Amino acid sequence: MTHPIQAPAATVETYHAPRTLTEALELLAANPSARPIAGGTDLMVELDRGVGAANPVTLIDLTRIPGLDEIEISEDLVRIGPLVTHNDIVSHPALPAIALPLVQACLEVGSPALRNRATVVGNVVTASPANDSLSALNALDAVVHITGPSTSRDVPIGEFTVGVRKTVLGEDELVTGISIPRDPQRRSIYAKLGLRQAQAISVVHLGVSVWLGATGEVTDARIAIGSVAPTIFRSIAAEATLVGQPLAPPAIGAAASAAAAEIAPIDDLRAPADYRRDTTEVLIRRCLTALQTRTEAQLWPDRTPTLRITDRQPTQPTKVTLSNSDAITVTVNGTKITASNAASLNLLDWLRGPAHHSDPSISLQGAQEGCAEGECGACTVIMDGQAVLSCLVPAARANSDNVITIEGIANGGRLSKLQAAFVDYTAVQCGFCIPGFLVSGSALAEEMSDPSDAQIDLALSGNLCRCTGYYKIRDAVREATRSELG
Amino acid sequence: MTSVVGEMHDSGVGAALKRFDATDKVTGAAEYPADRIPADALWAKVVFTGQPHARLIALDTSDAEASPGVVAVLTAADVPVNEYGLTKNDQPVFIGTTQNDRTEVPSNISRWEADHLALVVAETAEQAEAGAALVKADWEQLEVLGDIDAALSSDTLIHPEDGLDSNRYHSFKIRKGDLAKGQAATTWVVEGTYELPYQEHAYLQPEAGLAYYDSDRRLTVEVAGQWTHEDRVQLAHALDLPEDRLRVIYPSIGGAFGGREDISLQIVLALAAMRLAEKGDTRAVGSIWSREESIVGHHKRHRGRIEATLGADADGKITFVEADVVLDAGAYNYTSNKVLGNAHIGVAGCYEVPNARIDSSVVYTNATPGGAFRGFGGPQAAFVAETQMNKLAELSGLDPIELRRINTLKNGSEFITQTEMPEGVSLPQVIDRCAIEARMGEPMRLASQFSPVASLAPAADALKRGRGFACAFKNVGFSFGFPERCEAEIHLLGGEEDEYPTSAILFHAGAEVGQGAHQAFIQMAAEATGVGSENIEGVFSDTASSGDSGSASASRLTWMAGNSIQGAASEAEKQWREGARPAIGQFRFVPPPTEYLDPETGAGWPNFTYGYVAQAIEMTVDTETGHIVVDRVVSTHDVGKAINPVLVEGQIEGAVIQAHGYALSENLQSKDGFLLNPRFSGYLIPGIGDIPRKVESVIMEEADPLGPFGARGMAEMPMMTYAPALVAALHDATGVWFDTFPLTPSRVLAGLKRVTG
Ligand code: FES
Ligand code: FES
Repeated sequence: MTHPIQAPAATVETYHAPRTLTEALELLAANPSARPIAGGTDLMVELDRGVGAANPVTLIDLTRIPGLDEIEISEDLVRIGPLVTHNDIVSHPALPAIALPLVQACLEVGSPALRNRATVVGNVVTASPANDSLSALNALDAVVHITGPSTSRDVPIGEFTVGVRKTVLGEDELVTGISIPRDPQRRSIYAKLGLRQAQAISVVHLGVSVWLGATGEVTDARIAIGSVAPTIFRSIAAEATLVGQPLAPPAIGAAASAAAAEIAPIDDLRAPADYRRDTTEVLIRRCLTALQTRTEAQLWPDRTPTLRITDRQPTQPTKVTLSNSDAITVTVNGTKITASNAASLNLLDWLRGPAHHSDPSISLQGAQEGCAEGECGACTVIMDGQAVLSCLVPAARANSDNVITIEGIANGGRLSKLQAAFVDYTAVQCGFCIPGFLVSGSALAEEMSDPSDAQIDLALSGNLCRCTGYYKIRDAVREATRSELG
Repeated sequence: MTSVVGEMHDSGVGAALKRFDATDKVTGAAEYPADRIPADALWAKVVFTGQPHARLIALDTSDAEASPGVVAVLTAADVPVNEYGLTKNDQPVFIGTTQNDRTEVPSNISRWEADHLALVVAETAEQAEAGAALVKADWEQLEVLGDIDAALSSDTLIHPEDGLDSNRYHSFKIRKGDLAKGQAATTWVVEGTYELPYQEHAYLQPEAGLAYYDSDRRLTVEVAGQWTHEDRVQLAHALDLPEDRLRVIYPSIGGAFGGREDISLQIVLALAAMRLAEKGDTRAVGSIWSREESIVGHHKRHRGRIEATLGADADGKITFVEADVVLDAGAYNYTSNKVLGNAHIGVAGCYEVPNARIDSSVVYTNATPGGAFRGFGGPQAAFVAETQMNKLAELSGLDPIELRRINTLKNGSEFITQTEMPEGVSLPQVIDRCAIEARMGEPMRLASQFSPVASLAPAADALKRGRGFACAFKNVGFSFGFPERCEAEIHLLGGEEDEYPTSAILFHAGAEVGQGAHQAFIQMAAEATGVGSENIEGVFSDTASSGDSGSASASRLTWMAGNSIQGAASEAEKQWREGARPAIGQFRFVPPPTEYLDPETGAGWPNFTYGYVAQAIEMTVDTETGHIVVDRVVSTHDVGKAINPVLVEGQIEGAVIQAHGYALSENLQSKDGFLLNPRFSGYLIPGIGDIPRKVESVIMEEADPLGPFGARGMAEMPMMTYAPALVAALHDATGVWFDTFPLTPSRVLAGLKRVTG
């Protein structure tokens, strides 16, 4: 008996890190209630809130399996591996030209540190109607590849999701990829409306594709709308309105109204149904207008900060199965630290607890917990050369890897340029958010020099501060990332 | 009264020095309460009742006690005096089935979803959490009064022990001049009913703390709070201990904004340490709240409803104001009676009002308690007063700035409480300066267009721009006769032969909640003693080493602390001249006494000084999606004297963004006594991408005659005027008035559709 928000977290009793897909499928077959985990950005929140069926939980972490994070582009297909992250998509040089809505959608998910862990396949499997990539993939006719213990099957994306957070995926199956057909005739765009510039759950999101004939008339169209129904809603009426018409205002307006008339959204805390209906019409009209004027890619940024310092290089841990009380060894700020409670803790709690207390000469409590759900960024650390939200990383995932925390940002006791700038600009008030900003900012400084204000804002979009109003933080980052000559 | 004992230096008042605490905060070395919990500490979990209104029939903690690792489960039966409160002891420490004769507050009724039922103490945090889930309770449901309307229309009383016949439990009146005469002289009348929303503090550091016995056997609590000595008073009351057996220390505090003015973990942690020590277990007891526990478990800016009427004559001179103010106190008073007082004297605006009738009250409900939050009732009142004024400008066709010029309070004006304003009313200058800086007389300059959709270009046809203005006062310091005071102690150090002290130590309890108070204290001490800032050591926020400072609230801390530091410095200077080494100066500063308002007329002298603010906002709205981008904010403040101009700017920028969230996106929702979105994923505070494109902080220095070095309080002021200025700007853009906020896209679009059909 507790208040609903006080439900105890699920305990992770066993953590497996299989080395091959076959091993993973075998583990899954042997532990039907086990939860496969990749980026973990949804699952870790679920576990923390104690929702979901099994407790204690067994995790099967797929992220040590080599080769699953590839984006393969062939003549007629793009195939996205199950460990491809949102930032992999966002930073891929060829994808904007091939699958624009997907890259646009991926940039709308969370913040850079979240996108370094969250996978596209995970977004699809979670199957919330608000998940941004779903409408984009739907508009792109994507196919979901599923592998089970003995068989494999392919399911069109529109049939993969069958309800709110419900899919056709069997307990013993894994999604092993998503394919998008390449089609030079297809012209597509994605649009999302949220209640905040970044880290916003979609109020409406949609993907639109059109195919134009020789004389400019629409020969085919796909309009897929999210957050207006339990699954992604394809507006057949809007598509039919367009086909055979020139892509121009009369047909555009008619298609937008047809879609608005066809959907039956609901009220929720973010917006009433009316609002969803009204803005669905507006977004479809604006998207089709962008396609008409061939401006759909115009706002895609040249270079998007991803807060990656190096390529992901996960090492193979020596031990692949860890239980609750097992110790892990992580190189934190250059020092190897061995401490227990590997399976049951997230990386943040492991750093602040067992790791911090493992040796009186080290201090690891600079990373802070502000939300435990990936919203505030106070827990940001660098893992495997990439900024991540340590509240959403199983500690066991860091086993034998490299982690850098705020305590590792100073160079041998001297403040880094960025730290010094935060002091100089009085970008610090209560300071609780500051370690997170400095880790994100340091990753940005390594990734690019002379970032624009838009790039700085994007890099820091996952870090909340309640005291400063951000202006002095932005000034400090701008100053510290200025190249010597620039 | 600057008493320069020492040599000249430039590290005192007015210097834009870096914060001395910044280095620790950029290296991760600063310790917040959670970081202070030692490795061998026990962990405590507060069990919330989860019952907005219910009677506890039976409580069974046996399963929890038997749970692995659990060392104690504390309940109402363990509390010596089972009640507490900042202004009124109306809240049980724990809801329980036992009631001793030390309190009249029935302990067996849960009135709020986050009332505390038990504290489970265990070897680890996980074990405490597991044990907490095993605490069992039987409840008899009572009628849940989820909001003001429910509470006023029901016979069910939330605090029957008060002996009142309604849930409306505290009220104020103003009867000024002759309303009928005012109405007779009136040409223009503006009426409105305004719904004011909650606001959550959302300080980044959730509640956390630890309790233990110090080396002097004092029961010690380390926690993030706003007033060490008041925490100690409440601890002493509930634990029935003398104050000198208790100690309260604040380590680094991760933001407060009024949200830490009331007790969170202080009493329950100290109780646990006390009861366990009685059993021979002297380990420290620590606890950390999750974000959800923080949002559900502490008070909010009050929601409420204000009906108001404003009359003016043909020239725009105000003839009368009528208003009915009702605030939702939630389940317990916290500081609601005082917040109400502020709203009450603010609802007529910062103007000369010859005739007025104002009735204000607070109502108990089973919703989350209302309490202190930057502005303390002022923002709600100023939203109404300024929106009324802006509507008057539209109705009468008078220029909004001119309208304010002819009505503004000035030196010698009679305030709404029928007494003269304290000296130094700089509002006329602040209004003029803001109008000039904002170029109110000229057309707005172009702003780059925005799109609410990142992948789509701005829809130029749908964008409309507008500009709005608002101004206000906010009291500085405790009001309504509260015995205001602040203590400081300074030690001047040096050799017998030294003409001037070489270093100094400042002892002060004032809370550093992030605003830079301690840096300001040091600079004021440097100015007052002549010792350079770098040679002054501060010993802060510990009841064991400092006298009572009062709270970090009401924009009072720099003002009060500065006066106390000046006093202590001059005492120490005397000692120094007499040859004492160290030369010790102690001082208790007491400002001019204020008065409670007359119950029938509201006459009285409620405050000893005020701060003044005016803001102009330029914005753009996408009229097809309802999204708003603020292009420019001119925030104009008379700060009297900027002790550290960069810190002042930081306070302005930070408060502007909090106000921006309050006005636009922070939409805390409540139903039947439960908060519906107690998370950062559902309660949206602004991120770096959401902030106004430009904030221009205009800092004026018209000395406050009573302020230390002329300083005025300022940290709350930007919060006062933002929402009404933005609503005026939205009206300027679209022709539509909004009598409630936040201006979420769906609310804006619905409003625009209502008018355009
Ligand atoms: S994002 Fe990890 S604690 Fe907030
Ligand atoms: S400085 Fe307090 S939250 Fe950022």
